[in-house]
Amino acid sequence: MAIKYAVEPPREVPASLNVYRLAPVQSTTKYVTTLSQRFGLTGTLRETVSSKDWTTYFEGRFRVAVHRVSGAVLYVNRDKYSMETEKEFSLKPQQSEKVAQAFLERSQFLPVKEMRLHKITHLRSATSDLKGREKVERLIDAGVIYRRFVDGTPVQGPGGYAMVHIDPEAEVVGLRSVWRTTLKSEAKVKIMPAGAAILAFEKLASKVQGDVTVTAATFGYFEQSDMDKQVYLEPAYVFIYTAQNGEVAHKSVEVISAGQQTFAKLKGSKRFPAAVQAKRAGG
Amino acid sequence: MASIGVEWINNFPGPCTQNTLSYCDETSQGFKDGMVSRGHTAKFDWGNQNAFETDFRETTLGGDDGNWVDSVDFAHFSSHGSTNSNNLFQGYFGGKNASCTWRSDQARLGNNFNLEYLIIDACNSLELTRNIIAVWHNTFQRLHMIFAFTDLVSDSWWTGGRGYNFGRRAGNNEKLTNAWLDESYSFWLDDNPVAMAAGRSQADAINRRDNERLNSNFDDIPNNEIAYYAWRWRS
Repeated sequence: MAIKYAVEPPREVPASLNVYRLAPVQSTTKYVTTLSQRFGLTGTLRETVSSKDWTTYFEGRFRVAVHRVSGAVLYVNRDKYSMETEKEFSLKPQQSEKVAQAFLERSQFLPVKEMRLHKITHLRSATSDLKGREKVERLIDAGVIYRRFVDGTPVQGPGGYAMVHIDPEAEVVGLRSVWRTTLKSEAKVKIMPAGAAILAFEKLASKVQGDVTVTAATFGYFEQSDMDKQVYLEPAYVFIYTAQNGEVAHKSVEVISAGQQTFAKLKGSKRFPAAVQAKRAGG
Repeated sequence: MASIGVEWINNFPGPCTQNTLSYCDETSQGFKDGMVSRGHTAKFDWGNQNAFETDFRETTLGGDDGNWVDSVDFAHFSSHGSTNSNNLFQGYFGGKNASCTWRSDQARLGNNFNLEYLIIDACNSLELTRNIIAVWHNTFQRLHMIFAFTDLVSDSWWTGGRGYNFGRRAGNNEKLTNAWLDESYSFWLDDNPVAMAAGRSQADAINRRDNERLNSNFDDIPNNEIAYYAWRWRS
């Protein structure tokens, strides 16, 4: 087993960082209908649905939803989101970013000053006959992704972002964000040196068979996914890696707390644990 | 209501030795939970050494798919995967019932008039650097769609919820392609989902890819009537 770094691991990290307490999630129907006004809706209709996961407000062809556990926000134009039209998506990256930026500034539901462009993705489509002689590929939208920064430190993980979907007519047709509001600083914690985090990662990765390649090694605050409750925003090191074992490869990630004092686990229990199975006949 | 079956493998002891995975149970159980929570029915759930390669292999090729994967409407497979330069997909099992892998060239799905949707939550399962039509055409025997990934897909707690989120939306009769691409894409870990549909014509394949839902009643297409495939992905 060998570990290769396709990227430089973080070397210089701050000596200390604030740990922030996060605001309780708001997901009442009143909150969601009020939020919808940020996206230009009236918020006056009574068409709402509350499920175990999301509180959703419908107005015409629009849908606004807030996740009941994480506070993640969805905004969707149901007629236009991910629809393939005759016109192919052809906006340049700068044009897409300009449209997304203007939308976020206008809606004012996230602090624009705390975000930076991360990347622009595209929804892509293809068709082909069986022989591949009439293969056609097209771009359908741009998904402009902004990453969050707190006190100038990047936020990593599955949360801490806003993704704005833009259609070929340069219209914003969807948004997805996981962006928990910070409250007061709970504490200032000393940061474990990067070398110690690398050692901790390499110890974990030493159990992996085959050639391990680290494709991303980063430091920053860590924000959880849209499914998860999070009370504190804490610093962490993240190592994303691939493992090639013969002709079989896989990809995984290790997240290592960076604070010398920690407030919550960064990895939870399984959300859907499998029941123990009796041995199946025929095996 | 749809019937579903899930098979997942985290542990790969000899003679089927591979790296241990940690969250294949999470994605499969989550998918099942999401679907069942919307009123659909789980018919089977086999994990680790209880998951058999023959459950996916065509009965006339020595398998038993007619009693398992091809006996439900919606199947979910979560494990290691690979597609080689000969356009052959292999899904990896933790026990050697007959073989340690199921192979795309031994899968004939939908010919039991049942399986309509197959999720392959495994690396390189709709690998766009290969010829995905060559890999999967023979598998589409009235099968409607495959939901899978190009390149590697993460085995991680932080993205393990994709099975539930897709199952919840699919079970709620949302457009299947949108649900799969929205819920399985990860810009953070660079997970790139792909949804692929068969059609009798280009327009038919596009229509099915973009609009098929569990209750949309698109008919089954026999393999010899398939003329086009349409697929979508985010990257």
